[in-house]
Amino acid sequence: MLIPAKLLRRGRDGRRGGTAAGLVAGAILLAASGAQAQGMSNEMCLNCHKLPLQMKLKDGSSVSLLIPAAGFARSAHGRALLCTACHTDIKKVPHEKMEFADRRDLSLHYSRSCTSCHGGKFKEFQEGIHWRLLSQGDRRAPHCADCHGAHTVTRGGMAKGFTPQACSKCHARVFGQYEGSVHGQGLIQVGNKDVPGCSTCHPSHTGGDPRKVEFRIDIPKLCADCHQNKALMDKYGLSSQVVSTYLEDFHGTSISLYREQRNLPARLTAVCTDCHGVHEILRVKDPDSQVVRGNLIQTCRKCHPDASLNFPATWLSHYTPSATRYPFVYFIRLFYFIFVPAIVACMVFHVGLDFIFEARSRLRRPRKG
Amino acid sequence: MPSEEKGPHGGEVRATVLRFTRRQRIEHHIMALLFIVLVVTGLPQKFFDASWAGPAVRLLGGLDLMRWLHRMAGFAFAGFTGYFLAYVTAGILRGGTPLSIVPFLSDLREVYHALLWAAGLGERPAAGRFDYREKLEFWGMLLGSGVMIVTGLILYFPIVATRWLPGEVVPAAKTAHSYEAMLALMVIVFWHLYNAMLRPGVFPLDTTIVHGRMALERLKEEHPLEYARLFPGEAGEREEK
Repeated sequence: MLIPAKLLRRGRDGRRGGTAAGLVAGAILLAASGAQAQGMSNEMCLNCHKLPLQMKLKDGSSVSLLIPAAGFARSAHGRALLCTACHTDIKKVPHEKMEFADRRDLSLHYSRSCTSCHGGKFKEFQEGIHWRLLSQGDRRAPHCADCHGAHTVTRGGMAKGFTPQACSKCHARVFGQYEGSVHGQGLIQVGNKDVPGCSTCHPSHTGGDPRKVEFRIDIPKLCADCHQNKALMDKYGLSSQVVSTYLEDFHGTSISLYREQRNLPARLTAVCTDCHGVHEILRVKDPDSQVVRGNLIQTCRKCHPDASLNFPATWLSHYTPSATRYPFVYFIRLFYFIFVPAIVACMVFHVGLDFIFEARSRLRRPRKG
Repeated sequence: MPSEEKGPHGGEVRATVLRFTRRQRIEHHIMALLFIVLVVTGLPQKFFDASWAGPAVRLLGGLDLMRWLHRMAGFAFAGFTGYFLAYVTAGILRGGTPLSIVPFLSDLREVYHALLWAAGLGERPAAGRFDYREKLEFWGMLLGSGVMIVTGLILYFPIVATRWLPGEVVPAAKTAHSYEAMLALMVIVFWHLYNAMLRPGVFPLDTTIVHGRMALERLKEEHPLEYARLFPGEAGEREEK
């Protein structure tokens, strides 16, 4: 059952057994055929539910019972499912009077229907913080239909019109930061779909805890999904080298190797968000950006409190050294690029010559004694 | 200086000369051990995205422990290098330490003639106590150690280093540390291990570093000038024959 019993204000005894059976994946077919056996069809339901009916809820509010038939038909379920596949507590027409405490109670009640087919997703969902809150009795935490929609559920993804604003109902402070960020502005003001929304970074079902080191160590990978995509970055005139240059530096190398350890350390070296910010992330040239040259020292000092004003220049700002940019590093590298192979070539030549000579002379004149 | 050395079964008796003192042999073994520790704990950091980097990190107890080992071995390496330099300097000032490892222009001629000799043209050039390969390796090692120690300290203390130096010094030190290490490893593998282990005549191991003694016969062949210096009379006798 998706929604714990204590959330359901009223018992609807006699229906529970049916729901429990519905937990088994594939049981939906049984439910559907059962409904058909009783002669239930969607048309029978719509006979009434195409009318602008209202249902009074216990809290005094009312809810529309009009089903958007066309919307349902276009939905992922429209072709395959009977109304009774989800509304398993309806066995005959007309059905018994339904009673709900309020609008939320109603949607929580029906959200458990999803689990009978989408058991795998539900298992994932059970690992996440939202399920933990739901099971602790927090009715505000989102369940399936809150993101995917109910009658108009779309295939593979969130309901049309689902936006980060939906998350802002609970996560108002974070949404406020996101709204002003370079990503948030793109999505909210321009409707740009290239930028990440909430679920791009926060896995929608498990919603891994971002405070945990297991989440933090994957942040460079997360950012790499877009920022290493050359076609996408070219579109905005951004570098697609930011991840590789990060990995080559001390912080990035550490993250790569920490990932290989048996147990992650309690504290990681800096990942993308430690310098650029998280939800409030700005364009790197924005005067308020944490990584713009004037602010960089403050950002470094978050971890290196004794850093001098020279210190930020130890970081090559995601550039690959060249003759014009960071020439000191470039020429040292160039020197070794020539010097090391030259020395190795000389050594191999010498060793080869020596080996041939020594071997030959020893074969000709066997060792004494 | 020459002494009698018993063969493995007490039968054969060969004349040898002391080439490395006990102190020098122990120095070599400690440096070799530190070098191996530094290579093993350093390579996974350079080749962090190689397939073997992960197993290496797990084997060495995680990145933090691996880095700690690398840094401690680095400090020990720097300490021994400093001790060595102080010891040698003091020896030279007192006048007791010979300067036989110092390279001269004659060493360049020696390289040229050695290559000709190896190619089958001309005579083997006469080397002193240390031939050109040994001198090259010694000075390469000393200079390389200097680079590794200075850049290693900058990398371990970037905050302190950038108090006086421009920030770019740190990534430059990282580049130099990384490539210099590769060079050192290449020299050890292609040069030192060949000359001390794989070379026909010394294979499987040049045991001079184990007991410090070299057979007179070999000394005469490979370091004739040193032989002549040690036994001026005998060299003359031989010539008369």
